[in-house]
Amino acid sequence: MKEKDLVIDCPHHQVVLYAEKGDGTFGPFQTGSYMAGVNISEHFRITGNLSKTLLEQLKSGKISPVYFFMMVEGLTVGELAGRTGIAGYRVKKHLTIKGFRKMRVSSLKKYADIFNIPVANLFQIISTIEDRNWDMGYQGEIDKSKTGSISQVKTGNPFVIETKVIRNER
Amino acid sequence: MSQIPFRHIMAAHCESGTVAALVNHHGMEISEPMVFGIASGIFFAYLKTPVMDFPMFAVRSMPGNLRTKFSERTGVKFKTKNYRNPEKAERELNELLDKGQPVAVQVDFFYMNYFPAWYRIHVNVHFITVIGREGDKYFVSDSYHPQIAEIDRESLTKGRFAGGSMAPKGFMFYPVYVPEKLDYQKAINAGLKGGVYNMLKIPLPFIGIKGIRRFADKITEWPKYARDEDFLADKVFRITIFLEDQGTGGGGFRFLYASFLQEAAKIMNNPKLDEMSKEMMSIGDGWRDVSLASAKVAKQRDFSRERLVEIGDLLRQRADAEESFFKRLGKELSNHK
Repeated sequence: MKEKDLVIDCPHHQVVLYAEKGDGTFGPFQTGSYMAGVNISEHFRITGNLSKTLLEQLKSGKISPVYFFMMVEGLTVGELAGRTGIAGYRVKKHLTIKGFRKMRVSSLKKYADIFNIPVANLFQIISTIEDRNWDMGYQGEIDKSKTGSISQVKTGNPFVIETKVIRNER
Repeated sequence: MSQIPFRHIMAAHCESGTVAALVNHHGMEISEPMVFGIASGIFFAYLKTPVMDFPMFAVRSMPGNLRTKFSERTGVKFKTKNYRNPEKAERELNELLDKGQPVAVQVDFFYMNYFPAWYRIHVNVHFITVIGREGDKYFVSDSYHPQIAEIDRESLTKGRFAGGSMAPKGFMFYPVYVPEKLDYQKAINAGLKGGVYNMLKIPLPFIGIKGIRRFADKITEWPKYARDEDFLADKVFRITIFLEDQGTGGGGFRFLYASFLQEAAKIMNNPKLDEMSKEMMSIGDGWRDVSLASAKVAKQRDFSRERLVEIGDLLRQRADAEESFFKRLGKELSNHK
């Protein structure tokens, strides 16, 4: 493939590809990712649809927060069991509301660590006016227009998070 | 301390890029394609086991193999170490950094928070080079990041000690011996032979050319494993991601391999290899067609049997082309014994 045929304009996601240069030699060059540059909206649509469906199920009590984050982060029961050190059959129980209700705090912490979220976020949904942070093209607009943002800061206590609403003074 | 002077360059693939950057740092000028080729990174596998909820495929050899094969064939010696204790792993990493030694570590890509959230997925076999520290942050050279990146201590530790399949277990490596002169002829020959072996001779029906054919036959079964249309679209898009975006250099590593062959032809003074490098580039173009066709099918949500058979036919063409290519490469190697 010639270098010029692989060029994609996508400054947000750069990759290195190998291609034929003008002089016939092969070598590396940096360009935008094909998937991010051409199909990113479709990717966001798929992940957005999944999150939306799961959120509705979470709100109506059909699934547990563990199930929600497991699916959103593309993990399987086996992977989650391996990562948390919790037996697979227990993980399966924790995916249901009934099982989640009986879970120990230490297990909640293990899940939260894997999902990279505060433990508190297993019990709350923080909705913002426009949940479009997944859209890289939108990030600039958020920065320009926001009047405030929600910040979650760790405390010395691993089970407690401080959630603050920060006013944008600009 | 802060950063160790280190030449950061983006690379096509994290493992070959990391190995190349580390040995370059130690004075051996070698390109990423040469590392990939000498280590026989070219590969194919199509996997579906009863415990897997969806089939998957791989276009490169097992993670870790690039480093070990490269080491065997070049004489470069790496110190490698796994840890059970994160504190000990961190302490020893810090000691090495303080001595001015850049260290490659295996991590779960998900915790590399210098990338945007939408881009990060749980993959336990990402390699980065840690090149310094300051307070609670580390400086890393990541082949997929345009600049030197910074990561907080907690995220790096989480990445190094993520559990699950192919868990990193704190794995780290760095070169301890780099030969002054490399016997390129011998190393390249071994690399080429290994490539032929990977693609033609592994006696398993899902590896190499047989694996590409199995993929071609089985892709029509994909809808039965999918829970809904979105899920299937995501999986079909992943064909494109695995071939083009996920650190392959394009065309499922075939463009990178073509670059290796061209470089090898010069070193070995073998015009036949130069011709074959062009052929491999064209084989890569065919893989690119597989990517584009898959992206189109996923975008249009047309998962009819006919459309999947079309992708299968493209895959079968790749299998035929690569079978012929690697058979001739094998013959060429026998002629030059």
